Amino acid sequence: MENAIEINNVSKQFDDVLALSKVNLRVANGEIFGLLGPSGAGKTTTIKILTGQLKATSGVAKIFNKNTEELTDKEYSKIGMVLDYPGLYERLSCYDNLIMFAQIYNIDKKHIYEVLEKVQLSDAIKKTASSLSKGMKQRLVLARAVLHSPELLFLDEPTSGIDPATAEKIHELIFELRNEGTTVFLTTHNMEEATRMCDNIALLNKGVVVEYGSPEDICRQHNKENKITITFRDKSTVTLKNNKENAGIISRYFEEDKVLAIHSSEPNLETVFIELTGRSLK
Amino acid sequence: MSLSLRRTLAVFYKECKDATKNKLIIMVFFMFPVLSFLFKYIMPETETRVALPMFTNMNIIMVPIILMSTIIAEEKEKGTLRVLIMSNVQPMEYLIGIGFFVFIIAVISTALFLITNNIETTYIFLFLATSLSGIICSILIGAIIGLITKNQMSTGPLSGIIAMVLGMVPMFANMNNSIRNYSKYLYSQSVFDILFRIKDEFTLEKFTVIGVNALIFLIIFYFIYKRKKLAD
Repeated sequence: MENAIEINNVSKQFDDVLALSKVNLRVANGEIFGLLGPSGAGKTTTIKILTGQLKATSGVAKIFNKNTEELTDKEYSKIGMVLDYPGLYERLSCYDNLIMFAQIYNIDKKHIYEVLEKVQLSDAIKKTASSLSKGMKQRLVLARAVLHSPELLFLDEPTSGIDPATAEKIHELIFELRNEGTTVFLTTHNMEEATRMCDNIALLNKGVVVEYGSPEDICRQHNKENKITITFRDKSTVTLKNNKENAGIISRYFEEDKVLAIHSSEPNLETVFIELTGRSLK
Repeated sequence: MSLSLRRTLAVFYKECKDATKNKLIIMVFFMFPVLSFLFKYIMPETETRVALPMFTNMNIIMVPIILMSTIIAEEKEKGTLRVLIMSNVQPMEYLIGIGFFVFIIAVISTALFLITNNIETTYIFLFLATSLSGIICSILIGAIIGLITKNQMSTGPLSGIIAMVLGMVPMFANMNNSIRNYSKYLYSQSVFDILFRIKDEFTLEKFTVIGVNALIFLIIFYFIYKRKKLAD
């Protein structure tokens, strides 16, 4: 499968701060990729380099096989972006906010209604952006980003500070876009969001990629304790090492019909991140 | 990357829609014409002889400088400019779109003075030609301020001071010859002189001063644009 994004040994230095250090990443066409890390890890810097807003100090970043420092109209027309701020015209209506971009991208105005329907903002079409709630604004930003049906969508903290119901709607929309063939590159510090949504993730800490792969594989690899937790019918639990010695004990619990549920106690991305870096994702 | 008329017009249309809801634009647009109307009907004619060309001149100087710089600064501050640039709009397309909007606003606003200033039909063309050249100089100054400042907080005082100085200098030059020795090289002085005595002062010398000023501002704008683009 071809890669939509390739980052090779990219470093970025701001004065005396090394924001990114020899980052290597691949994002295949059509996948949802998550860059996970706490604030200041270098997530937004990575997006800025990938979208040509910043130049890397060293290394090469490519989208659609083109160096991001040489992006042209052709590549930009294939990219959609939700940046770390809304950038909406607050005095204009939802429709007017979108019609401008429809003119810029030379898109039929009818498509605005379809996109607003998709993000469930049809009822707010005449409302000014300033009167929208934070969640609605974020959906309008998303509508603007997907208005021209981009092949590659960058989402910088798309659900940050948003209520769970709106976040859920945004997740659904992202899945829908992926199913239509859009590659999604999102940054987040929400490990549940990353686990649920991403095909692959990279854990970024202080500008260094400390882990890379699918969320399941990463959690499995770091399941050093290899334990099993059994929940009994009386709601009590017991955690046992998953080995031959305990197989007999577990089998006895089943024979005695005591077991309500059994599951492996793999670490989540948060615990993996803490294990690797000594700091929390939040 | 070549300039696109479609994208430039998209910026222009957006600004037109925003103008109806932007209090600053509405206020700046009406400020000097309203003052001019009030003066004309309140003050005796001897007082309005200097005051009306003065208001016209200030309108030509201040409206484009303040609007151009403030619109750019607001877009920088609110991040909308970055979104536009990331959406394939060239910085120059943006500046032309906004500049064209400010030009239209300033021309309409200045045209209102045709009524208060009792310009004879024979001189309407001279009045408009002088006003348009002055407006172009002011738009270039506004664009320069918009390029070098980061937000509305830093733009407001700078554009205010520059617009006030350029707009008020002709008034002081009327009272003080030493000031006039310097101000005669400013476009605002030439515009004022022509508007004040349109029959006598529409000279090649005055128009050359306006042209040279425009050229200087264009060169400054070019170098700053080349260096900074619209980087925030």
